[in-house]
Amino acid sequence: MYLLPSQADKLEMINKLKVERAIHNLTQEELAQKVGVSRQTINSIEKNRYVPSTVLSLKISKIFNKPVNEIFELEKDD
Amino acid sequence: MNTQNIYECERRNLEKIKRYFSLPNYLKAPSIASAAILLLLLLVLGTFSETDPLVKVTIEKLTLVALLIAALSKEKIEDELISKIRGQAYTVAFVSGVVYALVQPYINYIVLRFLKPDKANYSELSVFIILWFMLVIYLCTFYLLKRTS
Repeated sequence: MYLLPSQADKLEMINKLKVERAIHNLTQEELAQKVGVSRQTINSIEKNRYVPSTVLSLKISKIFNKPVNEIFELEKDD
Repeated sequence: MNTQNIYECERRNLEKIKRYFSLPNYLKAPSIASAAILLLLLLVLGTFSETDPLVKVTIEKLTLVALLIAALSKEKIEDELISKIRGQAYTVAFVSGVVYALVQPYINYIVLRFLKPDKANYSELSVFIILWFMLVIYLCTFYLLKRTS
């Protein structure tokens, strides 16, 4: 992992993006196109390497028609 | 105009400048190729002592311009992950550039003292070397982070 430490690294965010994508039968590329980002960004979010912005999280939750906190959850670092 | 308005005006102006700092994606490949060719040319010219200093300086500046264009060129999809990576790469390049400019002259001097004690003299790095180092570090860090994120 080469990304520099940031505030987001102290709190780990877990997400159910992959599960939701499978339920809605969407590929990473299709989801990326729908929310206007690259496939790499979706892949990074799924692998918990990148914490998305509030706007992107809201866009994703709108696609899956679920509240943001059902897709993204905070996990306290111990 | 109160202080708050001045801050707001300054912020908006800086946002505008930021927009001008991003160039189209199609410039990326030609600028990297140009920088590589110019650098090669610079290495070849460096072997000839009779090269006109003006020619050498011009090629050095053109290399920096090509690297700067490559650094400022947008990705095909310029999203928030790319913006974050870009910010991290700028930080790495800036910090390592400052450290390099401060430390490298001493390293050069120490190495010269061991290898050629009679010709060892302290000299600062040229602006070209420092800027070239910063731009190359930026580009390398950016691609490394992009590939691994």
